[in-house]
Amino acid sequence: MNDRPGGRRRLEARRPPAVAIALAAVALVFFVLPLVGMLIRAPWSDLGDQLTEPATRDAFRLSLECSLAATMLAIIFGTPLAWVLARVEFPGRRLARACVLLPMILPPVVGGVALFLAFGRRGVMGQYLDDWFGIRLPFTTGGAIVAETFVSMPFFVITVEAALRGLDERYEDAAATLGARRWTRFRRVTLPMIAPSLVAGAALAWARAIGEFGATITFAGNLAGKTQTMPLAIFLAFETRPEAAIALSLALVAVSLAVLVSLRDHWLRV
Amino acid sequence: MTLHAQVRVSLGHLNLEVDITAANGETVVVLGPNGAGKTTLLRAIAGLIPIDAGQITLDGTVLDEPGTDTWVATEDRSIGFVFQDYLLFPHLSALENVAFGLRSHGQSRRSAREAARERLVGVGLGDHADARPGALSGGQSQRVALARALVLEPRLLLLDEPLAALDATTRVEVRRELRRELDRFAGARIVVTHDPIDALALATRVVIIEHGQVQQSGTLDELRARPRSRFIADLVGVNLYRGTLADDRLHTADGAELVVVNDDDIRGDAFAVIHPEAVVVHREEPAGSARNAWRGTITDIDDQGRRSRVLVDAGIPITAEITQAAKSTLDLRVGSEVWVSVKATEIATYPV
Repeated sequence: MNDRPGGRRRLEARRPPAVAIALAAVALVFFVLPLVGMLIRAPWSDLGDQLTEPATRDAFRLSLECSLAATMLAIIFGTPLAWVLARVEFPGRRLARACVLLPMILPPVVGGVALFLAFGRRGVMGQYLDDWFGIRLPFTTGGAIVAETFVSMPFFVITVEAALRGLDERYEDAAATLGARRWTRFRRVTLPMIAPSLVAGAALAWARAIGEFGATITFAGNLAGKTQTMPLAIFLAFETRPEAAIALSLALVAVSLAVLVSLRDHWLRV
Repeated sequence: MTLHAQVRVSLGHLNLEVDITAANGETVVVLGPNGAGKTTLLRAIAGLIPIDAGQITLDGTVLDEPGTDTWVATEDRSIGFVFQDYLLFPHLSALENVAFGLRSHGQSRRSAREAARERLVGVGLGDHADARPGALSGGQSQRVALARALVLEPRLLLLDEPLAALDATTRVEVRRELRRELDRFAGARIVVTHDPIDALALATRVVIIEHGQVQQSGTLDELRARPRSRFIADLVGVNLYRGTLADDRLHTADGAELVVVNDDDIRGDAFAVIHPEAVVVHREEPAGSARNAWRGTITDIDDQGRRSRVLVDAGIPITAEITQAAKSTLDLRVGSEVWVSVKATEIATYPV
């Protein structure tokens, strides 16, 4: 053994433990390997044909439309909800927050069943939607959007709520002493100061929405061109045309990576 | 323009009960330890919290009066507020920070920016107009915060610990600048601080609050002449004793006796104040005309430039202010045995 200062023992003390390194490496491989597998098995020769097939293009378009619509809804309704949860004291606030967060841990299929019981044609709310407004959500694109909103909005709400809680309210006080009314304070001080979290929350919600499967298939069904989004199309194709499934998966990976990269520098710390 | 505020607010452990007035051209410094309710007082005046009882009026207009359910919102009060850590909007440039209030009052972007630029140039920050607050020094931030409040020409200016966020080296300089800026502002101003040096530098009048109550108020000279609590005496740096006065003797609770000149023939519970400059320190027992002479031990020496404040435990604690020269001539150190003497004519007494 070498006990001199500056000798092996000193170097060993600084080295990270081997067990941690080994386990971390396993975890990393676990994440990388599926991607590699997809790249190796991808039908590169007829990838273009697979992706330009009308059914594929429909699914792709539907996925983008539904996920963007769901993200918009999450922003429009989620921002006020986050504000109320962060700023307004009311009895049952903790319960309200728990209800908002529930879809994050609820199995999506269960979410789909619950949505069906609420907004289905005989649902608590659904029968009135149908009777009064002629709106039917199950097995429509609207239903797919509702399902995606249900599972993705919580991600937006918790991100924005955390930002609002972390924001020093005295900035709004300062704006008030400068003559700014409530809406001006929100628009010119609060919103810009939580902008990074708004973007991050929207990106998370969108990512969750575009990957949504269980709630969509349960509540909105699997109708090509109407409710069959990419994940549904991939699942279906995987049985019969694995090459098509891989091609679609690659397309989703590409879109997700593009979003991650474009947001990285400005908004997300990745 | 005058502010009259009777503020009654209960907030957690704090029961704030403070009456305060401020007139044009006057700087009222609210001085007190942390947690005394100073910030709450400013927030109530600015309308950031409602008062529970009392009344706040500015130039005869009632801003807040629970009794008559009168309430004017912060944004309509025309009261400037400089916050402790300035709270410049981090996402806006210095220029946009200063223009913010003008824009909120409906000015066009262009005219607001022009006026803001003029202000910034006026306080010597023309070069920093496009800088984000994060790139400004503490002193610069303070000037921007002040410009942001003053560009709206408020009727009253409130400053919460305006120097607390600064380090010791810039503090002296910024304090002097602040004094100049405040003098230039025509309206009334209220400055909150826990630092007596700030109060000395800025105040026309001082209001001392402790535990949500006004302990005493007046000019600094008045406070130095007749402090009414140990806290205030320490703030203004004088020796204060409380005891029973009979003829020309004050007997303190610790059994000490002070010989005084009791011209007004006060009797009973009284204060006696001795200014440290009036206390003489000797190595030997003094044989002069001083009627008060005590033997004691030096417990602390605080050098302040050419002067030294020497704290002596002589049965009663007494602080003497002497020159550095005297200190070295007498070879005074902590632990030295000394005599201190005070002429009876140097001790002022007044009833509690």
